[in-house]
Amino acid sequence: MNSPLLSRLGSWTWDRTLLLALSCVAVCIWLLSTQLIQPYPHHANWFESAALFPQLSLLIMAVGGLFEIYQRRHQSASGESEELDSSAANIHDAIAMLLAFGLYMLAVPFVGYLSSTLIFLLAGCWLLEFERRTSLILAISLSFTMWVVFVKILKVYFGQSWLI
Amino acid sequence: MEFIDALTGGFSSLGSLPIAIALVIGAALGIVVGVLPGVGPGVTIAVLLPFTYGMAPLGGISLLLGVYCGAFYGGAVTSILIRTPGEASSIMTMFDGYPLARQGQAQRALSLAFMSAFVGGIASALLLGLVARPMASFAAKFGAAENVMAILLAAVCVGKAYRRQFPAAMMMMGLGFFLATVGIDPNSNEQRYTFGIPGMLSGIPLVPVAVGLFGMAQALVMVSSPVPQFDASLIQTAGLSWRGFLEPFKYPKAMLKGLFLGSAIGVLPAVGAALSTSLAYFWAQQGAKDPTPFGQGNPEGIVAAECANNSNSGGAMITVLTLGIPGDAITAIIMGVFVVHGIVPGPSLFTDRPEIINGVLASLLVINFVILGLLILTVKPLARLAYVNPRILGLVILVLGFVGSYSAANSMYYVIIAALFGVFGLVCARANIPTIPLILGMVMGDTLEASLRQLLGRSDGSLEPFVTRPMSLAMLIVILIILSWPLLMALAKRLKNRNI
Repeated sequence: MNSPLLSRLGSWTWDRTLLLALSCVAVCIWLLSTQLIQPYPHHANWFESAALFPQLSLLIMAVGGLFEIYQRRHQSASGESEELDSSAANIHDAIAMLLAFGLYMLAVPFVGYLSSTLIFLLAGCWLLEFERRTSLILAISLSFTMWVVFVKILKVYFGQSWLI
Repeated sequence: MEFIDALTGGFSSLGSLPIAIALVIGAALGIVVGVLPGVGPGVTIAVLLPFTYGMAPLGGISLLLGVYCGAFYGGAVTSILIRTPGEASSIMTMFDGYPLARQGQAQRALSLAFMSAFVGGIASALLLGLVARPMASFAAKFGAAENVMAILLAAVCVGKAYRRQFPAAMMMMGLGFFLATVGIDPNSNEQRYTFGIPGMLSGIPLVPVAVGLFGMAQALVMVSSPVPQFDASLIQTAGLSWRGFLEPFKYPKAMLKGLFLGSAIGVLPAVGAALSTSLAYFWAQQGAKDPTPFGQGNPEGIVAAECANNSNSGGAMITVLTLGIPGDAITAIIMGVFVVHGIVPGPSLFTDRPEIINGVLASLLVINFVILGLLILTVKPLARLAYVNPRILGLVILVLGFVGSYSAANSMYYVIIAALFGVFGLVCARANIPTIPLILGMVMGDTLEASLRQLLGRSDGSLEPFVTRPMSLAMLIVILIILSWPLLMALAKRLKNRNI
């Protein structure tokens, strides 16, 4: 039972889902502008309204996204971009590193900048499967250098914490 | 005479020790990131941007300009020695540089590349000095209608530079424009799209967005990608030859072709150095003096490509300084330094803060001398940086991105924004959606909205001023031609086929 609709849905790719989601977000924000602009200038002329430019921008965003979906649907390959090439990236490794970074962000205010950076770097080296010696040298030297430069010399204040 | 005065003034602005140190550090960092695998000037400039907050405006700009120019030179090292161009703009250098290095002439190839880049850099800085002032006095006649049209023209050019990704680029530009409106509206004090989050009242800051999109996204890709394998046997042969330094002057035609295309294309928004180097390379093939086939070590290929590559820097700064419109992501972030210090780039900058304009001009000139000097002293150890594992660099960028975004406002809110945009940048890269237009949109959004509202307010909502003012009308026609070009071409093709 291979209906044309199912085969069309089967060829639907996640990048087009992302584009559709971005376009939908733009439309939703456009429609909710009366609530998202406080107080909303109901009585202002259209050309004096604070909603004019954001709504125009959202319109460009939504239309651009929908056109791109249409274009990708009718092209064998989307245009090559000279921007960041992530084709070889392992998304699971990236997610693991991102989670480690998220924990690092949460840890800094409580554990302290030096300790959190050291732990994050050790965890990062472990995730990337570096040798133990390399990991230790990198984590200790880098975290200490960063702490001296940013906390001691540049006086970046990370708040009160349990450790340094 | 005015040019000489400007230059003298610029050199005296650079005389202060902190600015001179910033310039040298920027140049050195630029060369290093040009050589390091996977780290481009965009990432470095994004991560460095928060640290320019505490610096004098010219110091911050000199630091970032040093990175911008230094990376052009550094990229040639890996292109020639390991056949791995760090940037798309260095690909053409690789075509003839690597074969020369394989023939045992690595020193000649490197010297050719560095001297050609040096000539390109100096010529483009001089061009900036000569062209910027007349262009600024022309731009000073711009009213709100012309400002709107100039920004829209830049936006369309940016989109068109992405060729088949034009709609995606415009979508991201729209998102950038929208993000620029978040926060308290400066005209009416209404809160726009803040979702009740106190941090968003002052808007979405550019710094963490740039750190996230360029720094963290790149770092996440680096740590999750396999380590690239390359033939490192030629790294040991790195060095320079004095004869090679003088050789580019034997090929003035190739040099001029590179200079012309690099400077002209540098002015166009988002077109970038990659196109200028490839066009210059192919143009240099016509009427080449050296009999060596191109692609097998022809020195003219290196001269044209490197001249074009480095002459982009001056061209790209022309639009930033005279119109307040950045040409690419890097100049958009450099423009962020102006914005952070409350300096509005554009024609008024030439009268209000001439020391900044003169300082930028002098910086661009001095940076090229500093870079060349540093390369002469360090090219051998520098080449060894190509061995550095990009996964280690990715980890370092993440840690630097954290402290960079945090220190911009001593707030974890900035780090959260950077992390969110880092994820967004990674997802966009996976989906082949360009992110540079988002930054450009954010940078140009404020001016576009202010000019549009000013114009509509004065004309009671009439769009007539766009067509009654000649400059605005001319830009509108150009925009319409650019947008309708594919349709016109398709129509012309159909008519031609019908006639056959």
